[in-house]
Amino acid sequence: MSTAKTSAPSVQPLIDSVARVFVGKPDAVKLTVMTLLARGHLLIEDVPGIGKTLLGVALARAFGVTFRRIQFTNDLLPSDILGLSVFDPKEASFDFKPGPIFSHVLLADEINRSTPKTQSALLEAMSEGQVTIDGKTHALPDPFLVIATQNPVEYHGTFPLPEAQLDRFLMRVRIGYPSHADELRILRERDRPATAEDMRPVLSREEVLALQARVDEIRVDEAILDYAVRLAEASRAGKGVRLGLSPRGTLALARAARANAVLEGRDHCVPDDVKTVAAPVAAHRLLLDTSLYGVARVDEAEQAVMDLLHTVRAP
Amino acid sequence: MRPTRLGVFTVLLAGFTLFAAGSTGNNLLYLLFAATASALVLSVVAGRLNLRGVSARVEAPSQVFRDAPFSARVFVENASSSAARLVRPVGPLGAAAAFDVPPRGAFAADLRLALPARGLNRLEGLRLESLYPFGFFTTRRALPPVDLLALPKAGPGRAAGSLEADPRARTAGGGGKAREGEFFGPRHYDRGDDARLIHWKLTAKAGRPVVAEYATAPEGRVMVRLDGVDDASIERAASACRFHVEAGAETGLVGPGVEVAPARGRRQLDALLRALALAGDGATPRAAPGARSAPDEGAADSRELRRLMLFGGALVYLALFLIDDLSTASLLAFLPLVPLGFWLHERGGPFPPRSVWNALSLAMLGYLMLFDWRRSGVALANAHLLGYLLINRLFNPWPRKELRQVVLILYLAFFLVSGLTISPWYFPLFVAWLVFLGAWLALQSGADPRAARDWAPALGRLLAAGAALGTVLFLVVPRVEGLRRFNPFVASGMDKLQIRSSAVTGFTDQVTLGNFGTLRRSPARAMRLRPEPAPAPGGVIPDVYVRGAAFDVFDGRAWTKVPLDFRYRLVGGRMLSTRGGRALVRRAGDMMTFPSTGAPGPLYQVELYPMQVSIVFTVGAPSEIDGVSGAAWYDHTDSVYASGSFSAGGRYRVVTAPPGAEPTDGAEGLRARALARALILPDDPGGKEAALVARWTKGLTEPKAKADAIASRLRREYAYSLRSDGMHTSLTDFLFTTRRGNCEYFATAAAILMRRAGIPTRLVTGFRASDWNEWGRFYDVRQSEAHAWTEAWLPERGWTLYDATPSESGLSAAADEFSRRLDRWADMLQTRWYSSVIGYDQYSQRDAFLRLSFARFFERLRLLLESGLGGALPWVLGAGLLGWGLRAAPAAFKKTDEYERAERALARAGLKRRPWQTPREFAGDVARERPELAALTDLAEAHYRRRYSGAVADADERRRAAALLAQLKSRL
Repeated sequence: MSTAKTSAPSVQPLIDSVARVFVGKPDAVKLTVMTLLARGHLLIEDVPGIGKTLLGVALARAFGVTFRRIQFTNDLLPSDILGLSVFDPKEASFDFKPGPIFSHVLLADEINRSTPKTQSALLEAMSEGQVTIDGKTHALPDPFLVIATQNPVEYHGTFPLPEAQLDRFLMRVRIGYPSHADELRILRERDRPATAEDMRPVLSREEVLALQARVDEIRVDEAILDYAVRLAEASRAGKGVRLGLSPRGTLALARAARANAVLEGRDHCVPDDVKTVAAPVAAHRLLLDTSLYGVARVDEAEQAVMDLLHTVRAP
Repeated sequence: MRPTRLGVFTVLLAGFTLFAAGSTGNNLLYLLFAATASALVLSVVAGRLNLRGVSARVEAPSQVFRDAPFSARVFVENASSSAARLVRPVGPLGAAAAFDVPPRGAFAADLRLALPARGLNRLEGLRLESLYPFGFFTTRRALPPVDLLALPKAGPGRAAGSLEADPRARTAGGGGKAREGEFFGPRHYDRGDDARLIHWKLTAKAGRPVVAEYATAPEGRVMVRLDGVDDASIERAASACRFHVEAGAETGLVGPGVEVAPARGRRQLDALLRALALAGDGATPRAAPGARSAPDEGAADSRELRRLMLFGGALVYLALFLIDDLSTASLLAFLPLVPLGFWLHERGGPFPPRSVWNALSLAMLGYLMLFDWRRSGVALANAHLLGYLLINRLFNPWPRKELRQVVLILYLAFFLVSGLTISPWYFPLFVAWLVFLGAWLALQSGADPRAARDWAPALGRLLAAGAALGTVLFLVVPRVEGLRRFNPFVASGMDKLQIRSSAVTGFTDQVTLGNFGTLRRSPARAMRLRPEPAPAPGGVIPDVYVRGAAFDVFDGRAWTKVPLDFRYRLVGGRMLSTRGGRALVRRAGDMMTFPSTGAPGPLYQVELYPMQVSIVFTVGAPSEIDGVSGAAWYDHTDSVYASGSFSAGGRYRVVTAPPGAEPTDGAEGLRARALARALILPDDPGGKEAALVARWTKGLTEPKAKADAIASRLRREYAYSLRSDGMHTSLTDFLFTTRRGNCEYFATAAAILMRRAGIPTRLVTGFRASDWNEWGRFYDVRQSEAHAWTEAWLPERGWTLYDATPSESGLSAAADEFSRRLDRWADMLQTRWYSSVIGYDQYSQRDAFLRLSFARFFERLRLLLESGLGGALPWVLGAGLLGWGLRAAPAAFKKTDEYERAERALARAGLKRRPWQTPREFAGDVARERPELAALTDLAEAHYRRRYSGAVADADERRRAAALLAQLKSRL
């Protein structure tokens, strides 16, 4: 483990690089990088215009891999994402044209604007890591990170993601409005070349893979696993919660806690890791009694998770 | 801690039970009292322990308006290692629902609150309450005062004329119902919304009408001017602020001491309202009214509670069977009513109308007052009354307020049963009754019936503790005989009205086989027998046969005594003839002397309780009797009679004659006639008895050997029983069919069979004294110890005592049949029940304490240690220590590091880590509150490294941690 410690690259440059472009929200950047390290996928949920797309672009550029973006609309078809086989008259055969999903970082913008059919095509690819078209299986590149964005569900013209599919996202992140000072800085620095397009890669693909491997080697004490399980159990029995954390959710919680440990440069997990990641990992998996259209409002769900953290005994 | 209404009532009930117990001396009432009192004591202790480690804090929502009720979140933390049960926060508007807080856990509940004043309100009287465990007492824990900010009421008013407003804001706002402009969001349809605004797609998705809302943001800026800082102006300004912000205007506020820059949006409205709330005297905290307990609405109702009460009713119904004076048949007649009542309650009706019950109650009352009371006696009439009440309640619906009343009636019925029965079956019913009451009390004080698995173990532990405490209480509550005088029933002679229908054990001066049917044991005291000198303490206390009357003629069913006249010599005087078979005893003063030879035997003092017989009880044949007034006679059976019956009791001393000596020894020619009569036999159809005797005494020639064989056969092969099938069992039936019976059968059988073997016999009735009272140094002789046995005349030995009755409590080796064994067990239990529970009085009490005295305890312990068990004891102790060590070892060997020690030191100083906090969070909190203790942060990090990374700290790090700890402790 000590060799891994010395040889593995640091995450800090990646965070710094993204944060330079995506001003004023270091927490959101950290959570995004954490998702990448934990081999998960990220759902960003917030009002339009606060830089969801910018975050995705910046991350992809920062480690120099292919980046694609799909703007989801209600007439988008699964083949628009996965690709399709086209008949080649010269060869008299079908030729597979890969879709935008064949990239390392995929930004699925406003995912809840598209129809459930298209959403599920993407989500299947996310969980399987491969795409099957016309009986042929095509492996997706590694690392593969989907950053989906969506508007809060109470907005008009959306097809909310069902809870089963929400469960596939490791985290749901809220960005929130920048502070007064940060917004001023954004305005001033618009002219500076520190935009996503100008960024230079700070980590190679191999380095990212090494970082991901490090997450698996993080030492997790039995007491911390026990804490995660107790949190999940409490969420299932919680007042006002219709659907608690699934075992997949508990797994995600443990995994995200490890990624947080890597991010903080440790080789072991501490209880605070679980607490840090609990809200983004667990909130979108809860179904509250007050949920409208079957989905909990972001702030209510996060409040519910906070209540949980304030009732379960920490190790 | 305060008693609830139920608690006060229970205390009164306990007092009433104690009074009844004291004034009747009935131990079952003492038992009931001990249970009730120990429940009260446990309730106090468990209630206090329950809230021991509980603390709480209150969090209000971000916006609270004056006078508008809202839900505050109360986080209750439990630092103790056992769950805090039935905790409920109480505020001025009442209490929240009760909940359980897990051990070392926390729970969040919503409490309705309202703030009466604008601005800062100080809530001082909030508290946590718990009815745990039985709802007798409310345990309270006050919460620290909380300051909460109440925003002024902002009604949905229109802009008042006096306020400056942009006119466009008024026209363009329009309540946000225009269809143009930016999409604002969907919301549920409200009454009054234009139907055209319904968004049908979303409506179809949501399943209820949803309206799409569009907002128009008017251009405009409004400054609300505050006229004064009185509440009315502030609320006007608040309404105006709300109106304009909602209309989308840029709204600001100016006024005395208040200024808010204009801006848009909900956040701005919040800022405006906060500024308004704090304006004027709103900034100084004002006291809000304290907590108000919720009115007692009766038992916490649930289906399970009602079912439990039906079960309790069934239990009481069963208990009624124990009252001997209520006939079993009539009770059984009511049996179909029980399932019918259950069915009605499960269905919820239809119950008979109230008018029917009124009429029935009137009729019942009349019957009780006019007939029943005089005919059956007070106790039985009470039983009838309670029986009626039970049926009345069973066939009436139970409104929530009357649930406790129903249980009270059940309690009174059980109380009555306790007063009227002495059956050992009472005990299992009593235990079931306590379990029922425990569960009922837990449920009625709010325990969740569906979570019974959670609280039932705790209830079980409470009941076990209650059993221990109750037993001690039962043993130590002083029994005062004199109190009986205060019993109003006894004082007014009403207890004499009671009719006893079935026979009880007791001494009789005639013996008729099967005369009584089934006998109930009577715990009434017959006499105290004081041997002089008393047996040495610690030695074996032998049973003593107290001789009453003897009989020598048996007609196949009853024993009689036909007078036999004889001539005798008065001691030291002349020859006399008997009259009516009775010989006068020579007396000098109070001393009566019998003609006998040889040295007199032991001396006994007899304290006789009132008894309607004139027999002078002796031990064996008497030599001298001292203390019986008036004349006395003896007859040819050596029974002694006084001139009148001992209806007021008596006290006399008896000197036992030497073995083999009889008062009639000196009578002329009597022996031969008496022995001839002692050989008269009833008919033996078929010669079965003779065959039996021949079989039993086969090969034996000596009379003594024959008598021994017959007595031991009877003891071994026949069973003792007080039960009877109601038929008059004859001696033949006893010998050849039932093979079970009471002592009269055994004595008769022994006498007749010995006569068939040629041995003269007679039957003696009296008492077998076996209950030695160590404190009083006397035998406690009760009517239940009345006994009959046989005396056989053996050459050279004279009249010899043979007791052919098998012992009640021992298990005979020959009685190997299972049922027989069970019967004996039952009889043994019954004997124990009568002697230890029913007959427990002030003498037995002191006796029990004497036996428990420490000297004796240590003596026993020494004996134990010396005996074989002593060898095993070290091993047992060693194994126990080893087990304890293995369990405690992980904790003992686990290294506590500096952080944990620091945490303990901080906890002692009042800085406790909350259960949900991680060490790092706790360290952060401490560093914020007491910056000089920031070293804890470093300690927490070191703790993390050691605890979670598996790394072993090197010497340098350990030294540093120790230094930090020392620094921390010094600053503390």
